[in-house]
Amino acid sequence: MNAILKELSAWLGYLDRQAVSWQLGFILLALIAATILHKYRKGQRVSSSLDLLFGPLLLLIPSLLLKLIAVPTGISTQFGWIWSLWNVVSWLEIKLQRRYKASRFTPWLGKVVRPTILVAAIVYFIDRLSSISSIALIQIGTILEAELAIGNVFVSLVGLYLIFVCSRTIAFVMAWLLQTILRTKTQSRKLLEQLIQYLIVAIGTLLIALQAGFNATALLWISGGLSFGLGFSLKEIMTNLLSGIWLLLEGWIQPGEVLMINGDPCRVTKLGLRATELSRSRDDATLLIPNFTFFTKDAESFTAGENDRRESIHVSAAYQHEPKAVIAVLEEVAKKHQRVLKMPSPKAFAIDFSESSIDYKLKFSVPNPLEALSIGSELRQAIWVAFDDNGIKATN
Amino acid sequence: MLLPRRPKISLVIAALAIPNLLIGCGKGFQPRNTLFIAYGIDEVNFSKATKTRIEGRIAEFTENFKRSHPEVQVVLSVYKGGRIWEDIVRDSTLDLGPDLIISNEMIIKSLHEEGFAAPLPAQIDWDQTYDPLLKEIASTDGQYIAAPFLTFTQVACYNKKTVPSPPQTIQELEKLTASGTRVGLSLEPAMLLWTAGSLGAIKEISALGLNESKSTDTKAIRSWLAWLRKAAFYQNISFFKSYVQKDTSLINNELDWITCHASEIEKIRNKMGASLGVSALPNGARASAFPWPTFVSFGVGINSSPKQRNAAIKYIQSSTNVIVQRQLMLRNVDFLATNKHVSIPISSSQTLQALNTSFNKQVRGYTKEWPGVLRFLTGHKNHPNRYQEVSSALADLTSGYLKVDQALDVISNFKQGSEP
Repeated sequence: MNAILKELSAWLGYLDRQAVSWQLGFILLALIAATILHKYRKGQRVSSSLDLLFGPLLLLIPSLLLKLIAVPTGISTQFGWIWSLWNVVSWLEIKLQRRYKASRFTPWLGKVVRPTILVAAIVYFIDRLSSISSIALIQIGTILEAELAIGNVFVSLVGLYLIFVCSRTIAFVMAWLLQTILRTKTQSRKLLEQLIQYLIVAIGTLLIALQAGFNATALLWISGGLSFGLGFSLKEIMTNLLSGIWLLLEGWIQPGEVLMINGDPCRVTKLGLRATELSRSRDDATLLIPNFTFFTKDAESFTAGENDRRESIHVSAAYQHEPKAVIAVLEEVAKKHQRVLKMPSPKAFAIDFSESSIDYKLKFSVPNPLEALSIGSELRQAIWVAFDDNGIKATN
Repeated sequence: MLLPRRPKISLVIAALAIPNLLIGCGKGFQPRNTLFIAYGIDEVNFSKATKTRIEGRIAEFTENFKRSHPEVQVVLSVYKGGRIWEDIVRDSTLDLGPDLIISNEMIIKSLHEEGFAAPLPAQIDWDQTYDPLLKEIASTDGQYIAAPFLTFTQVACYNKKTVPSPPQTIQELEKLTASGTRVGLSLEPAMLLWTAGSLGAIKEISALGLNESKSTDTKAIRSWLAWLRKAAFYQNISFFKSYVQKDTSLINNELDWITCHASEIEKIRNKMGASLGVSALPNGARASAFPWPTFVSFGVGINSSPKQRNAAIKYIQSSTNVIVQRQLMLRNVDFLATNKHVSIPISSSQTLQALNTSFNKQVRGYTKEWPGVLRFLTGHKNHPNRYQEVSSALADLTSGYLKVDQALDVISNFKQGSEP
């Protein structure tokens, strides 16, 4: 750490050069002016493009003009170009966000392009102030008998960042390609996507550790120890993970399916490797159920793989009405309801002769099981009206 | 157009602060006088160990300089050897170039040609330090551009256990290989040119380099190439593209005798200990070998403040004066001093004796031919790929792809350029 501080403090020596100190002052001035314009813009109608261009142009135009008369402006010009590039990306981001709100490309500008510009600019200026090769050799510590040099640590951090940012997209592309080649189900693709993502993270982290100078034998010992520790302390997480893989493989539970959880119907929104996310219709609460639960407790599925649900309504009519007419009225009411599926078509049956009435059952299908209750209520109201219109007397 | 209240205040503060800041940087705040020194390490050897070793050597000069200038902070930056020229150009373009450059004189001269290294101040009489050969090497048109402070030259490194007595002539070397001594030669043209000296081809090579190709006789050059071709057939002579591999083979007892550069001796000795022997390269029957020397030199950067420039010149003077150079000669045996007033204590070390023979007898014997040979190898502006062409021709000759006359055609096809 002393070596880094020594290196950083040595850079102050450049301030002894007038060519350097005046350019730093100029850059500071441009930054302050750009900040003031930015604050002023919030209250006024200054276009965002002008706001973004103002700082870099304030720096670049005088720098390039002064260069013509041999005034040293290397630092301010270079800083101006990097600032311009940064602002061009910001401008592009604003435009894309406005035009394509759900664009898949826009988040990459913030996640990859801008960090790349920032890191490249820092590396560039460090290389100019000292030598990146020289700085990279500075040792900052020792872990597992591996000497950690700044260069290796920096490469490792960048690598880890890229792995965590890009692994999902790479996994998506690879899974999609495999799905296209092997013609597998969407469910299998999702499973593959998650497995590939975990693999990329695991293999990438291992490679980075080896690159950083960690001893492969030491890493093996650590992974052995971790496996042992996982067996005890992370037992439940591992159980859930394996359960998730099984659920995905066998396809018992799928997104969109409705499950009964503690007597409430809940829709599966996301099937993860560790837990399953459900949305409870009663109060719109989001439930996170560990996957292992589905292997240890009975899970009642309304839909068993299909989203439409067959419902039924029980009604009774007096003996004086011919059953054929009552059945026709019941089926007509169900067919007229907009949210009742045409196929399979609604069917009514005379199911019992009670003491004072004949019992009927109207069976119908709804596209969304969570709407079954409300549709049933509406149908009962419609049956009451239809019975009244046709002079049919309902009994209990 | 009215500005809101807060930006107005910021503007006033900024307007007051920045001129003060700028003046402060120049006058009020006085950063410590810092001397930035840049040096290079070739990519093959670029490691923390090499950096520590080289900085240890530079520290000897720094210590001496700080005795009289304790207020100056000396900061070292290491560049990868192949990139030092480009990096210094980039740094200097941003006014962040080094105050002192440590490199060989050719790179410093090249930086000077492009305007990225300043000449040494003419007020100082550098002729008091350097003899005519060093002046020729360090100057352009009589103006000193570089200040050499260490001389590394080419010698032979051998295993004393298997080669009790080093060969004195190239013919003796051939006999040794016939009796089983394993020899390693570098394929780098500069490092192979010593054989051209021993075989009497340097005068022709120099004439070729000095643009006299039309009238130049190439008989001796042909003999030299024929010898290289013959050597390639010998079972016990191996040619190496990489000097690291050649050195390692000697250390691992896979070779008995190699040509080595003085800068490699310390590293080899650390591994071989007392079994390492060092001698001058074998001469020929009628001519001496042509060892390739390297002069580690100081060059002056172009971005320094007056204080930094002054410190840089003082650093050069303190590192090249008689006392410091003499002390260095007494403490180290791998290089020679450049100050003309420093004598070499040859009786104190076999290595120094070899270095002395190599530089003061063999190299100096070719003072006249030196500019022509340099031009033959490195070409000129009209022929920038010359070194690569010679290198490929020699590699193809020793691998059997080219016959002697074909190789001769390639290396004597020296494009006519400007006058040297």
